Amino acid sequence: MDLSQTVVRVFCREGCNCPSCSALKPAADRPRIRAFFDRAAKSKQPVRDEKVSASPTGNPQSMISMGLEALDCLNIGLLISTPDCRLLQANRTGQHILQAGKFVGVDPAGILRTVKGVRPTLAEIVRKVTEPSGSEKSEGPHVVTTMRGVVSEHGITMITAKPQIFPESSPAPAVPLILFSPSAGAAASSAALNSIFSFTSAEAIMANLVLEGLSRNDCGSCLKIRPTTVAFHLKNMFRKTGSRCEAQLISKLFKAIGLIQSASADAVAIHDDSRTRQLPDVVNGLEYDAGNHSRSVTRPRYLPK
Amino acid sequence: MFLLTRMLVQLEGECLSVISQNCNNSSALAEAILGALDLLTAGVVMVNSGSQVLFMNRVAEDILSESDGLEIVSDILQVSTDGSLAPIQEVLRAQIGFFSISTPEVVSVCVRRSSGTPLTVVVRTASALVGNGNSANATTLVFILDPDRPVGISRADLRQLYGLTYTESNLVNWLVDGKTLEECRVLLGVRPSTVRMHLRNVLGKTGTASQGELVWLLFKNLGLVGTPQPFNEGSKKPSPPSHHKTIC
Repeated sequence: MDLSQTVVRVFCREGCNCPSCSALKPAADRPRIRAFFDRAAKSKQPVRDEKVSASPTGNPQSMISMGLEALDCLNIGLLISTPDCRLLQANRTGQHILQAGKFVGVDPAGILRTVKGVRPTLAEIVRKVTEPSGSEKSEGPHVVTTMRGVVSEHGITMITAKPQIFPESSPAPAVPLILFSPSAGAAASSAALNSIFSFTSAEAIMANLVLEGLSRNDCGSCLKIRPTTVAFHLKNMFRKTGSRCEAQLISKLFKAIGLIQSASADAVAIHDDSRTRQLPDVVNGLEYDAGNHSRSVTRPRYLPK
Repeated sequence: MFLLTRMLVQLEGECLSVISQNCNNSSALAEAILGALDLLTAGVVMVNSGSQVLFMNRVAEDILSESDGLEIVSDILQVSTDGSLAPIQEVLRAQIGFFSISTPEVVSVCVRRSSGTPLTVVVRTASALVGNGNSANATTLVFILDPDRPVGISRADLRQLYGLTYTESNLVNWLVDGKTLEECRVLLGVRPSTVRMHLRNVLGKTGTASQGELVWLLFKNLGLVGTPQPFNEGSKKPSPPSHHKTIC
């Protein structure tokens, strides 16, 4: 099995009791979100409890835009579709993935389409999570589908969560499709890396390349530095993070920074599929970052001082 | 590039028109989005300008329930700085001076705590999208990352996606969690040559060339979604390393 595949994971249906499902969606979870909306709906009479307070901003519309933005900050694409594959909402990252058109695209009528040659189609996946169960019992409660693309490159991981259905209020359930694209770059600002690990700007640039999945040699050729210099930077990064090998360094970086876009989003060209074109942008953005920012504050360059 | 931007604007407009048609569906839509946030392994909290918590996902709840470094006192998200608690918005104001309503800013803060490594808190201040430029309505996104939380990818997923065996999934989970090959060898209780063989098989199955690339690929593809803990399914607390030994 190679990397040129789109991976689709379909979570189980409601009422399923398999361990993975109960860990993902505990019974207490749905009422929590539900209670939030009940409260948001009648925001004129503010109700307080320990978790959620009704406030002027607690309306679904602003929650939608904030939620989409949160996933954008994490570099995760989100598409919301109806059971008949009509696109309801997409965040910016999701739109970029749609635009790239490698695996899924959207036609002028607003219907999500799978790119020719990619199997199974999106319609089949969505049907699997929205249709009442019964026919799939033999497959077990956890439906996992592997979709192969036609182009040989990193695929997109797509996670289809079971739609949340309001029996009384919503006419059509919304199906969230979560997309991960390995080619989407993470951009941690040098200020953030400095405050967490006290990395220098050169080490921060290296760290970003490592988070891009580049090997030692690729880092060297990208930054036009010698292998010995790469080894020197890596050695210092190992010391500062307390790791002993590259895999451990990557793990520690991901755990501390994740995929959060903390560098100025405009300085970094994300979702450009050709890495060679993308990387100089990352590097430039960080160099700019390093020169202008104080220890722990990131400020986009276009802001007035 | 220009064409791309134009297409993007067009698509955005399309989405907005669709959304306005389905106005009564918006709460289902919001629930779908918030449900998606709940799947993440990073804590996400939305606070208003008064530091009041509007929404937080499950991981954020988990981290905040420990009340170490970050706390919620009467609905207000508080950061402990130098032993005293202060609402997060005040800490931010002290850091960046003023809030620009029109341009979102990203600020990263390292929150020290009494136990374990510091929490990484990344704050994205309000954007023009929300609140119609009214600072009282501005919502701030707070991301909380806890480096001490173990990353777990479920064995079923690894088997389904890459065809990994039981031992290989254990090995992969330890590697993704930041253990060295030597530590994995001790946990598995096997010889160095055996653990190298397992690693070679995993690299072959995932199509990666190095240990680093393997960890990178798994983090990018699966590590950021709240899949259940592979060793102690159903329990919320991370299983200690000693527990791993008993399984193998």
